[in-house]
Amino acid sequence: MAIGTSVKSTQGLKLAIYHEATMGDAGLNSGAVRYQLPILSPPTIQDLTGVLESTPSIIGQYNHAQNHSVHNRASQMYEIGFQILGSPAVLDLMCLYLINDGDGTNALQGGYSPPAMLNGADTDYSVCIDIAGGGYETASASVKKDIRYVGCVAKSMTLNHAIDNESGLPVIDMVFVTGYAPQYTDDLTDGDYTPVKLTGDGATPFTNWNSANTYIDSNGAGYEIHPYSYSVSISREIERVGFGDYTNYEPDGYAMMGVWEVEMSIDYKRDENFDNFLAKLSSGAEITARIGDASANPFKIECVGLVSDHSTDTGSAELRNTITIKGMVTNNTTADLIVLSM
Amino acid sequence: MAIQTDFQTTQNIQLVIGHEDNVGNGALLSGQAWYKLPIIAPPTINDNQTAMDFGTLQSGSYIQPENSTGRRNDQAMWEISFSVIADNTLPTLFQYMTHDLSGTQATLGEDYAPANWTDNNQNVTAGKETAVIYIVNAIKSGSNVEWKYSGCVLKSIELTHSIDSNAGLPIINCTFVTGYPAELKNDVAGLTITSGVNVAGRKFTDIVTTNRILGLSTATDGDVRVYSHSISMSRDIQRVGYQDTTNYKPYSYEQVGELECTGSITFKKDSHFPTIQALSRNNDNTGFNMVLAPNYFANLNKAKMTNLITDTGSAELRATAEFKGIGDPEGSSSVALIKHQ
Repeated sequence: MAIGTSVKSTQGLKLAIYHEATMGDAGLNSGAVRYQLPILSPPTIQDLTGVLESTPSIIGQYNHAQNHSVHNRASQMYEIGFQILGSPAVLDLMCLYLINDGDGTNALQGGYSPPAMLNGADTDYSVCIDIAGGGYETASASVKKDIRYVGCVAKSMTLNHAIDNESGLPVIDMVFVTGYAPQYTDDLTDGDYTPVKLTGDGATPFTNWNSANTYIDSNGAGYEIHPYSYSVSISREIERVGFGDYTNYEPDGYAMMGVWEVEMSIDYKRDENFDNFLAKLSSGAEITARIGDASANPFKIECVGLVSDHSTDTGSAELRNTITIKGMVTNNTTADLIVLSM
Repeated sequence: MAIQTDFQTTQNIQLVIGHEDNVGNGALLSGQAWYKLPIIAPPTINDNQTAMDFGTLQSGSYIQPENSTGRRNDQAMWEISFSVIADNTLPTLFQYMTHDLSGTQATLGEDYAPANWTDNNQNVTAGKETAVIYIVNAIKSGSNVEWKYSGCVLKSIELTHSIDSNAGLPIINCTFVTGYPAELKNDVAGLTITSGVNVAGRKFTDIVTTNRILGLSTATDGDVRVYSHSISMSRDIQRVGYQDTTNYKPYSYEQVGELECTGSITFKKDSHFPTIQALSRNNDNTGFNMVLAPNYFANLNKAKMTNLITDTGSAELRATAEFKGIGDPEGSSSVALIKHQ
C-alpha cells in the first residue's frame, strides 16, 4: 500500500488576488498590487473538469455507452466564490473588479458599458486568483501546493451588513468566473511573491449609521429610518466565447450578457415616518434609499430605483419592515444607480 | 372477450441492413455483411399499409358506395426513416446515395448517374444500389418477429455534426423507400451480423486538420472556428408499374429530377468574415471542408453559397452559410466527399 501521507489544512487556506497583465497569463499588471484578502470561509476549490455529455441512448440497448459520451470542455466555465470581511479597502478593490470603479465613491452609473474582455489583451479588470494550500503536493517536486485561476472576471457581489452578525461588520460574498483551466503553482505558499495583506481592519461597524443620511426616499425630517440590517446584491451574466484549440480550450474572450441586476434591501423599524413614503411602494415613482452618515469620508450605501418588494416581519419585539429596491436610473446617463462607499 | 396480453417494447427494436444481391430479391450480395446500426430513436415501422381510393359519389346517394372503392397496391412506396450515430467502423450509408466504390467513403461525383433499379437486376459491390432492411421486434406473428424490407433505395440522407449536441458525435438521418411489400421473418437470429451499436464515432473536437470555407484567393482566409456542419443529399424516387396483382412488385424505380446536394456550416464571425461574405454576392465556386485526415471528411467541394445568416442567440455573433452543390456533367470532380471513420 502507498497511500499518500500529506494532509491539506482547510483552515490554512489563503487567497491572493491581482489584476493580470493580459487576460489569462497570470502576470501582474503594470502598476497593480497583489493583495491577500481576509477570507471568512474556505473559497471554492475547483480542479480541471469537463462537462459530461452523452448522445441519446441506443434503441435496443439498456446501458449508456462509454463511446457515446464525452467531456465537453468547449463551454466550461468555473465559478470561484469566497466570503470576505468588507473593510473599505476590500470594498474598493472588489468594486474596481466588478463595476470598474474603485476610487472610494464606488458607483455603477446608467451609462455603464462593459470593457472588452479578450484573451491575451490587457483587460479591465481580469484577475488572477491564487489559493495557497488549495493544490496538492506531489511526492517528487512540490510545485502544486497552490491552485491558480487565471482570466477571472467578477460576476457578482453581495454585501450583507447587520447589527447582529459578524460583530456588526460588513461581509462581502464575491463570485468570479473563468473559462481557463485551473493551474497548479507554489508561488504564494513558497513566498515567491509577498502580497499586501488586507486584514479587514477599519471595517465599518453597523452602529456608524447616523440619522442624518439614513433614510428612505428623501434626506430630511420625516423620512429617516432606524435600520437593523441591509444588503446589496449586484450581479451580471458572463459567458465565454469560443476556444483557441482542442488542447487547452482557452476562451477567445468573455461577453457580458443581459443587464446588471442590482438590489438593495433594508430591514427597519416600522414607525410613523413610513406614512411619508408608503405611496412609493406602488406608484412607479423613483425612490432613493441610503444607509450612512455625514462624516468627512462618508459611509454611504445608496440605491436609486423602484420598489420591487416590501414586507412586514412579526418575529421581533417590535414590528419591522423590509423594503427591496431594484436599482435603475435613466440609461446612458451619469446618474448613479448604486453607490458603495465606506 | 379474448384480448391478448403480450406486447412489444419500443426500446427493444433493432435495425439490420445489408447490400442486396438482386434488386428486390432480399438476399445479401456475395462478399457483403449484415450490419446492426446504432439507431438513436425508433425507426419508421410500416405494416404494408396502402392507400384506398374512393370513387365519385353517385347522384341520389349520400353515403360512399362500397363498390366504388379501390386499394392502390400498385403505387405503394413505403418510407423507412431512421437516425444513427455515424460511427467509425461501418461503411458509410452515403454510399447508398452516391453509388460509388471507395472502401468506407462516399464520393458524389459531378458525373453521378442513378443506379439501375430494374427488378431483379444484379447489384455489384461498387454500386450499393439497393438495401435489405430488417426491423427486429417490430411485430410478432408466431415465431416471426421481424419486418423484412427488400429493394430499399436511399431517398435522402443528412450528416449533421455539432459540438454541443449528441456528445459531439456525427449523426446521420436517412430515409429509404421501397415498393416491395414487407415480409414477416425470423431471420436475424441466424444471420452473421457486424454489430455497430457500441462503436465510437469521430468526435467534433477531433476534426482538426481543416475547418475551412473554400473558394478564397488566399485559402487560409477561409479558416473558421466551426460550431456545426451538415451535408444533405436527396432525390425523388418513383416506382414504375406493377408486375402482377399478387404482390404488386414494381418493374423498376426511376429517379425524377436532380440529386440535390446541400450543406451548411455555422461558425464564429471574426476578422475572416468580410472576405468570406463576398462569396454570398459573387458567382465564385465555394464549399467547405471539415477534415481529420485521413479518417473524417465532410467535404462539400463544389458549391455556390445560397444564404448567409447572422445568429444573435449566443454570447458571440455567429454566421450560418448555406450552400448548394453544383457540377459539370461532363466533368469528373467530386461535388461532395463523406467519410466518418
